[in-house]
Amino acid sequence: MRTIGLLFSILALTSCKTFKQDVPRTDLYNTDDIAFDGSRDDPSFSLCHPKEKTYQYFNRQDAIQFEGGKPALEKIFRSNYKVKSSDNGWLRIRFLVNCKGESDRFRIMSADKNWKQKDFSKTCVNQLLNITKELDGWLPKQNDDGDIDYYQYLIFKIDKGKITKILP
Amino acid sequence: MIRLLFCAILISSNLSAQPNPNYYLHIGDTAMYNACIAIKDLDSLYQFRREIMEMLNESIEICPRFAYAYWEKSAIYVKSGDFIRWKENFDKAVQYAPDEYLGFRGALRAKFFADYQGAIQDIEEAEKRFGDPGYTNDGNHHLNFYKAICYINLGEKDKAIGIMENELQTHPERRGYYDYLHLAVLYLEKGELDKAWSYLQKQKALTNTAECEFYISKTLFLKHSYREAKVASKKCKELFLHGNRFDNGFSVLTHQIFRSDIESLEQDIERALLK
Repeated sequence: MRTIGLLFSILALTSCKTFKQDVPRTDLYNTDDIAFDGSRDDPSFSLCHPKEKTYQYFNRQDAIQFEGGKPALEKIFRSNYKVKSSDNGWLRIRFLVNCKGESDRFRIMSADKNWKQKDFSKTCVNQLLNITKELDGWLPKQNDDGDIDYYQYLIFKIDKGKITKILP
Repeated sequence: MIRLLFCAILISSNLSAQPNPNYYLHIGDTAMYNACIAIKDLDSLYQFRREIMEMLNESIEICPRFAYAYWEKSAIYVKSGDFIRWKENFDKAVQYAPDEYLGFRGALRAKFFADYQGAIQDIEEAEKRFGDPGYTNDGNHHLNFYKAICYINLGEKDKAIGIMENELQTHPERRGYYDYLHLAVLYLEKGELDKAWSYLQKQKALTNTAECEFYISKTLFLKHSYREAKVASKKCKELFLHGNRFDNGFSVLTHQIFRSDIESLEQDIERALLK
């Protein structure tokens, strides 16, 4: 019986270790943290400071720290997004930007105009997600010790499939 | 200026201050007292830590009508852009303390989620029910001026001018840091350059930013005073590079400018000077 207990303990410890490798411990500590998901995230993406707090977009510098600022980012969506649905409401894509300006772990949330969870059409979601994934102008943010990792989000206000506002 | 800043800080901090549990003890509301005690260490940890959320959930469990705990939860969600849980929690705060949170909800739904119609409804409802609707959570705007900013974003610029001019006449003490600038830009866009100039000078005397010099330069450009426009655009760039510009970290503000705007204006001025 003791041997079985010991075996379970070893297995538990081993699985915890594996889990730690995939998901930095800090990911488990904060509300709305995004843990690594092997089924959809790029395994080559990594945080530069996995043992430290991952900042939020507003903690340092501009709300959108992007090459050319928000106008440049809006221009990319204006040029690449085509209205192909009649979705209404808000769609958020939240993700991580590491200290090198690389992004990954994209997560989607959407709601109708009454603020209730609602799935948007695939055509709308896939376009927004693919454009967001391909953005390569994210600039690293800094704290006093240098470049940091941070959470960023983009919220798209959608009216009849059209983007009427990009936030923040 | 310093007095104004102090007032703003006072207003801002008062609006989001953690309640004193002894107040609830004094009025004999034990559930609220205990709910308040459950979050006494709220300021000791990083706001996004899970322990904070656990404290807030415990507080709500103790007293489900403790509006402040819902407000604090919503503050975390609004910062992560989680509009669903933000709204759920903020609505509860409004339900239990509408006098404190109704106007606030209006300001936040506009600032974080561009829900300008909803914001106007909340602000007007707060005014109807409680008189003065109060200030935005950062203390930068009285909510009536902020309502005008919502109208700007809805494209109803004459309505925005009407509200701002009326507020300046009836409640000049409510004017915020940058309300003169917003009004100036509205007149500038209408082509009423003298009015725009007058408000920009008032803004500059109050607090100067890259935005102020940018719109001064733009006004001068439209008045064909290209050399003066160039001087102002240079000042604008200096202020911008020194960080004296609109930037609240959370969102892009109405009439905020970017480096590309300055560069574009500079090019227009250079072209005009060459003619």
